[in-house]
Amino acid sequence: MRWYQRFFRRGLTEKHLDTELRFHLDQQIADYIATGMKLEEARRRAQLEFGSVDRVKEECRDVGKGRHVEVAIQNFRYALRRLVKNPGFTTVAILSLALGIGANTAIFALIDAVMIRTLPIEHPEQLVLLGCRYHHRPNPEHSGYGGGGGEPTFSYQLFQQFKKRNGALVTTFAFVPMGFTNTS
Amino acid sequence: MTEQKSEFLKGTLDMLILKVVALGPIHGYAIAQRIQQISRDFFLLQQGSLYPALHRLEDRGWLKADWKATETGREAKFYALTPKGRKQLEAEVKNWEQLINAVALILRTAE
Repeated sequence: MRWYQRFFRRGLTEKHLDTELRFHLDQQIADYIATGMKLEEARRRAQLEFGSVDRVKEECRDVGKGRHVEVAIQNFRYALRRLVKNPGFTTVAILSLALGIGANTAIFALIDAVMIRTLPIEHPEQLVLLGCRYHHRPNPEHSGYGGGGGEPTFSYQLFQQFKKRNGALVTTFAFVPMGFTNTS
Repeated sequence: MTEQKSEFLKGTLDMLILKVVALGPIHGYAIAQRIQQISRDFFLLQQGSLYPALHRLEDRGWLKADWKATETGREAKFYALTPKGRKQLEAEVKNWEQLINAVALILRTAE
């Protein structure tokens, strides 16, 4: 049985083990009864001879456990030997791994800074983005600021009104997204 | 079983089980009975060593197990020899014969 089958069929294996040992015990009891023993006596004697069912089960479960570790170590050693014997392949493999891991790290560092980490301000969780929904215009699907709250674009006058009458928030600020153009 | 016999059995248990199973599919209880009968009560097989051994041999691919009904209609786990197990049995029997020949030679010449 492969290790993954063993993993998924653990419950079944356990049931089989139980049935197997119980069968042995019952068979022994039946044989003792056949020799003229009383049921109680036969049962007691069989139990006594069988010893601890749990201990037998434990030992059956342990079968092959150490062997898997052994096989894993053997495979690891074999892999190392092959790598040493084939330096060209080893170099290519290590380089591609290094490149792959490096590229992933770089991309993640970028995404982490831009999208995951909160803004470097005092209470980033209190930051809100104001947006406006217009009845006569369909809502834009993506405003580009990660919100479903309509268009976050206002005239300067409106912004000043927000700032003046702000009673709920500590402060108000506006920002303009800037596009970068490579001029060199 | 005396301590001495039990030590003696340990080294040969796998071979004895393979040999008995080679005679045809058989369940654990019958294996213990067979070994006891054939050895004329010399070997009394403990469940504590029989079942772990059976599971070990199955794990190594020398035995394969099937659930079948016995004569009394109960479900029991029947063990059968695999081709790999047959090869293993042959190798172990060969080893064993070489071993007892060598021991016999020493005992004879040492007299």
